[in-house]
Amino acid sequence: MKVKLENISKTYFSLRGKVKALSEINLEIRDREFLVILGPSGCGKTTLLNLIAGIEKPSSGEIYFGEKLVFSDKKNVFVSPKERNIAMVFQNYALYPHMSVFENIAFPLRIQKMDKNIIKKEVEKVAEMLNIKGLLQARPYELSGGEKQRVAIARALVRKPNLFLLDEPLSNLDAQLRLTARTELKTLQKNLKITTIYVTHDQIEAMSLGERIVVMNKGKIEQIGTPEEVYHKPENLFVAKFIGTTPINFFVVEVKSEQSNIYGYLGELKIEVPEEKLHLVKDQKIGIGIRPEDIKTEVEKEDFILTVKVNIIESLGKEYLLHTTYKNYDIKILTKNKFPEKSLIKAGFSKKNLYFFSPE
Amino acid sequence: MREEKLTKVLLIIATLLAIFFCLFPFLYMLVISFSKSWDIFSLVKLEFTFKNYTEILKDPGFHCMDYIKNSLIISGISAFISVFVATMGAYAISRFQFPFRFSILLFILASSMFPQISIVGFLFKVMVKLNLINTYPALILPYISWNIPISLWIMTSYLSSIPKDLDKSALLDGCSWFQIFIKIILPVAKPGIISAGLLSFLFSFNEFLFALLLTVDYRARTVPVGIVMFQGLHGELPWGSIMAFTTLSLIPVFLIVIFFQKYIIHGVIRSGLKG
Amino acid sequence: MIRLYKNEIKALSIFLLPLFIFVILFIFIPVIFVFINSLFRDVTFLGKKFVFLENYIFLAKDYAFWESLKFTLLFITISVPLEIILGLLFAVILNEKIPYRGFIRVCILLPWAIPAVVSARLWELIYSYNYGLANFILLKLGLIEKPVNWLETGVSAFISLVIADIWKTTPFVAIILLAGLQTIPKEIYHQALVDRANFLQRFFKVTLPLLKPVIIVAFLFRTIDAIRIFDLIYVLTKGGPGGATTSLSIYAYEYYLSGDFGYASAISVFLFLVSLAISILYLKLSRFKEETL
Repeated sequence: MKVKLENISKTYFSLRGKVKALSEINLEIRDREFLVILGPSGCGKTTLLNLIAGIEKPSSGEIYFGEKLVFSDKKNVFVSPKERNIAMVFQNYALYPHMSVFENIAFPLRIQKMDKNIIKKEVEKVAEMLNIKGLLQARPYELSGGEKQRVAIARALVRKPNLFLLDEPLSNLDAQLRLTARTELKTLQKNLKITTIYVTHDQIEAMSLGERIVVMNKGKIEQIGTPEEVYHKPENLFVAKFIGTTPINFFVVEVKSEQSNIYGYLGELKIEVPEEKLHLVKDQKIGIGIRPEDIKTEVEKEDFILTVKVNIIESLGKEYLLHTTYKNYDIKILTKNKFPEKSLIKAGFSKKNLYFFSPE
Repeated sequence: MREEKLTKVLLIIATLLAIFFCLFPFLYMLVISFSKSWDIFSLVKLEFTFKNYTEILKDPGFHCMDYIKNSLIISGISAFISVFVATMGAYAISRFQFPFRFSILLFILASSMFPQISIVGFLFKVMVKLNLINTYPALILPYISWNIPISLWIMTSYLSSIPKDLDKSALLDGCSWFQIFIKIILPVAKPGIISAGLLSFLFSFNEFLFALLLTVDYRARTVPVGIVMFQGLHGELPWGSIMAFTTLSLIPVFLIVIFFQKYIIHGVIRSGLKG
Repeated sequence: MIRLYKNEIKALSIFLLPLFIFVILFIFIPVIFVFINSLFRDVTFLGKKFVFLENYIFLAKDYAFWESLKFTLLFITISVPLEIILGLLFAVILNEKIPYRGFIRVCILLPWAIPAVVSARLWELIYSYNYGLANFILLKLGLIEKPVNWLETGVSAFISLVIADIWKTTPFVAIILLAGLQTIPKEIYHQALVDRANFLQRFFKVTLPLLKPVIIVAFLFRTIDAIRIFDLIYVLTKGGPGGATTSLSIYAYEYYLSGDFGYASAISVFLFLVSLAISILYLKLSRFKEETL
């Protein structure tokens, strides 16, 4: 099922006054897509999920499920969550503590007043699929985190939802388990072919799961794109900073025009600003970004070469993160080679790996 | 080390004194209720007897069992209704966003602090008009109202501690608000409901002023009024019988405290201090 | 504004309606009625007549009223601090790791859990002139030479009431303070132990300052309760001897009983307003915050 959000805004009223949680969100989720909403905590991603589920109502805008209008403030339409046929998995799993695992999974079907035998069959089927058949008689407090998560997913899937929403479902698991759970989730979604929206603050999770990623910040969408697009073609500094294992190097440099070209001056380096990026220049300045992994220490045919001073070396296992300085710029470099501290080394990078942003 | 031992000894002495301080009136009550004389000066040699008990139980004129029965029924019904009503209200207050919801909560809580004497005159007049004097409803209705604030406070505090994700999940599973309340909130909030119910029961069981003015005889009188009204036949108070009656009527309270002390303490804490 | 949809408004009103009905019917309407009634001359067998503030003017000049107010305030200022001190002691005991904690808790809860009039009856026997426990023990210990008529002289009746009230309400204070004690982080005590503070130093330098907010809450809670004291006095002294122990509630009750509803209402309104003021203070100071909902 396709989901479409048009001009969705959400404003909360609290004692401290108005809080704009979401503003002017436009988003289309394709049928059977695995879409990840990525952003720091407080960016409005969970609110967005709640709006889609119908747990909360937008202040304005319209939401379509397929061709059906499920929310509109102007037309005064609101389809209740019950009628939307949505399933959701919560960060803390929200298992009903007073029911057994079987009862938890059967609950949505019982509410629909399904036949007892059918319920039993359906529950067993989904339990088998998620490998929790042995746990059906257990109580939620007896389960481990991973088991709880499976039960929560089973409960969500048992009534064959049109749309599957996951709100940070892996963040309460330990690192090891998170990895396997991630793979399983991906396979499950592939097999079931349910449109899925997955909310997370973890960019690695987002990159490995999502067919497309929506990067959000402060209630606004910063960029929508495939993992490759948001990584290689960040549209703004926020996206560039948020995506990538180590934060991007970012410099604000002066620009000068020389003949018909515009150049940014990073120390002695003269970096040409491509024509399509010229609109980013403000007050004779531009922001330039380069990822630490794109700076090479084995300099061969890089476009720009500079000498940097190594200050601190952080070992990341098979790689090292060098904190270096060049003139009065701090530059971080990710490399496989180890260098002594305080040494001067050569580093280089290519034109194609540079990002240009507005200087603010 | 010596200092630590000293504090330990002092602590034990203090504990024993505290226990004695709390219990000695009860022990005194028991001793008097089982002895022939209530004159402590001639009590040097105890004479054990069941006479005090058999007397008040055999003579229907005392109506002891009537009072206890009235108290249990009135307190039970009012506790049950007030907790149910308060839990519903607490659910609305903790789950829905609506204007003035915190003010409503504070307002109702403040009303639990009103002096009872300030409304008893009105209640009396109303109950006379409605011809309800000396009936169960005359006490049950005001007791429900007077128990609601404390129950509401306990339940709001308890329900706020239940993750809202449970409601959301149930909502998506297809429940209506009422189904969420019945199928999820009530079972999960059971400990809070027990706390609130027990406190409400005790308050109703112990209430005196309303019962004094709104009842006339054994058909609706509760234990506190019964004990205060207990008269001897010859002017002098028959302390043996009074203490026997007191002992009997305290049995429900003792049982509740012994078996549910944790719930009671939680209830008191939640109602006195939020958290 | 927060917009509620039809089905939500319906749900909301059904959940809140019973609550409002009971609270309005049996708490707010009576209170309003008492306010109105206090502006009338409402005496049995005489016609009801609007007299505006006459009852209140009379109240201001009523010597017995001021005496009962004085008694009530004196009773609070003496009994409540004593209850707090004793309750603190109980709370400290309950907070220690001692055997039979459950049993001790039950013992401490019992006086609080029983009806106030029942506790009054127990103390009435204890204070009895001819055969009471109090005289018996004090005579045996040689602290008094002849039996004291506890409830028949002003000062001794006052002391008797205070002791009985302390016995009844200290457990409540203890539970509240215990809850406060348990929120004090253990690390602070470990640090104090490392600093070689002894038991008393730990109590006065660590426990007491950290417990102050809870003590204030308990204090106000007890004050609200003590200001309307009725049951205990009704049984033990009936306000006597010679009106020396007439609390405000007892004073109002006497006028209700005599059929002067208007004047009794005026006294009630006064008591109500004082309680309300303390309640508001209590709600402000205690940790009730909207955010926790």
